[in-house]
Amino acid sequence: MNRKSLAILVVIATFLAACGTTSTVAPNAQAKSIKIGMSSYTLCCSYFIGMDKAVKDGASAYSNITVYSTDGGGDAAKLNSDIEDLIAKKVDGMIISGGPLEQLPSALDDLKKAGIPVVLVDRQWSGGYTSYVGPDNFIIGQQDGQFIVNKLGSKGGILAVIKGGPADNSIGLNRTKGMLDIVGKVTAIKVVTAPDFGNWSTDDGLKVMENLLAANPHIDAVFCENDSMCLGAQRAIADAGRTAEMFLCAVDGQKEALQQIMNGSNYGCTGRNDSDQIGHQGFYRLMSILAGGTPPLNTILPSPLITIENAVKYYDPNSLF
Amino acid sequence: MTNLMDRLRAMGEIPLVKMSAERIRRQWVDYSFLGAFFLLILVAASMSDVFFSGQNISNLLRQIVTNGLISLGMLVVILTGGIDLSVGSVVAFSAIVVSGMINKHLPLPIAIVIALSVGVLAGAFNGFMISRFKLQPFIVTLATVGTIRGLVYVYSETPITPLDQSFRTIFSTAIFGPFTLSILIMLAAFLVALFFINRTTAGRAIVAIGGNEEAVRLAGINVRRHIILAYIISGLCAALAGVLLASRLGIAQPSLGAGFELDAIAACVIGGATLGGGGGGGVLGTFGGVLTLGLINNLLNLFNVQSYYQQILKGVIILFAVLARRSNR
Repeated sequence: MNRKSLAILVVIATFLAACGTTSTVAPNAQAKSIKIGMSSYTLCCSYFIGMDKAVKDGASAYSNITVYSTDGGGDAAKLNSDIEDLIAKKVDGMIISGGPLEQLPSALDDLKKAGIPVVLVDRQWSGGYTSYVGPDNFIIGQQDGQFIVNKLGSKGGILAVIKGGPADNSIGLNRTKGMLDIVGKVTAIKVVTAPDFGNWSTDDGLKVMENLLAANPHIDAVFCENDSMCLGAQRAIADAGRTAEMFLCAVDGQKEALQQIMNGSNYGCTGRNDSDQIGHQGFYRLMSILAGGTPPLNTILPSPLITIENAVKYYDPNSLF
Repeated sequence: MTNLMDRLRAMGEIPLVKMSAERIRRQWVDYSFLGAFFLLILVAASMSDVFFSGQNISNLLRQIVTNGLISLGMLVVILTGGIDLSVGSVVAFSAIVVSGMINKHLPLPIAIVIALSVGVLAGAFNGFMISRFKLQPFIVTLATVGTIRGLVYVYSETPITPLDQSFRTIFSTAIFGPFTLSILIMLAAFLVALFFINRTTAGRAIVAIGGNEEAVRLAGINVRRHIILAYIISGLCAALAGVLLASRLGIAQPSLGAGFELDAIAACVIGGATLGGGGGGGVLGTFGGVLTLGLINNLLNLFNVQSYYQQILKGVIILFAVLARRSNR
């Protein structure tokens, strides 16, 4: 028994000692040391991990900049706590990647009170931040919508829509809204929305598509709120032997989707969000703010539409995403 | 009355001859956990200049309010030999209801009471299904996880921002030192629970049900009613946590609270509770568990340790907690 409790003490002490060694990398006493907080709502997926890595990568060139990175684990309360911890740590500036989160007023209030500038990356909130760098999901949706309209032509057809969910995820909602903004003007296109969410994943995209295929004897086009779901949907369509019947369009620029587009399959288009670029831009935006620059409130990064014409330009076989 | 209390107390304890040896062993484990805990704080304080700052202590305490309240309710349910997986959904439900009611211009106290009664109803339903039909708590609450979450989305698909500023400030303004109203509410809840579980007949009955349900029934106690009570307490605690969380975040997302049940169960287990009934687990131990989990988060953030290690360490601590408390059979 005593050995057991001793073991516990040893483990915890060792762990903390290990933490200590990583934290005591003392910056040059002469140079001013700069502390940056990078808080993500989630580091679940390569897209968000890529953004976190890009910020660290940007900072790694400077010996006196330390990045404190936190992961909210997909929980708004944890993200809020993480930011509080970093305020206590007296970071000079914050970068927040809010994932699907709509707003986090209390954290922004606390940061404002502490006089810490905030750069939002990827996810724009309704106010209370210093600057935002990232994509506009509505425009990305519009680009897809235009592609679909062009391809279906004047005779129109049936368009199936697979949403990621949950219902409060406005990233997905904005993509679909943008797409419908264009498609809705063509009366010959009939939109069928899947009643179930694809949960942003390939396996659920496959399942939702199977149900759509069963319920609809004819479909001309499929729109998914991200590539993962459309890759699953494409699989379901192939399994049903209906590949020639329809084409697919999505958003993200995932490696596998680019491959499908390049190969001339029925995967028609995607819109590219480059998380590496977003992360780097966010880092440099914060640095110029800390240097005293007055930034624009919002900077929308372009998300090019990718089709068979240009897919090869964006395809990187070594890409994380 | 006292006689009944004593009998109930005996039923809740570990039976048979090994009792005294077992009790001493458990006490040893508790003390060594306490020692490890203080060592953790000491090491932390000596290595980080920020740790003992008023702001960080206040952060830490505010951060454990949610899990503290949920764990307390979870403990009561675990003591009966049950489990409540639906707490995360209840948190979301009460958070979104209280925000919705506030935006309908209901007075704050009434909005809060309505949100809390949502939790009471959810708990009563869980408890009724479990005790009336003798269904497994795991299965019943697993079903209500989805049902309640669905209701949350039916109530509002989009996040609700409570527009009343006073709702946001009332719980988070420091009353004295680092203590905000939300922290005081949590601490008060723990004190009430301490009294309830150790000093009231209903509390002792709940503990005894986990030890030997049949014996409690034979002692003439209404087992069904006490099981329902335990789940109502859990629902109420989760709903209270939801109200405080909505106030703290300033926004209520329908997707809030997913996975909260796991941290609550972890806190109870670190505090010595045994799943599936039968002894162990107390209010103070659970508080220690909640504080430990909060500390891990806080410290590793201060030391800039990647979050993946937080998850690993959390898992290791839980395993050690159950290993150390394993009875030698």
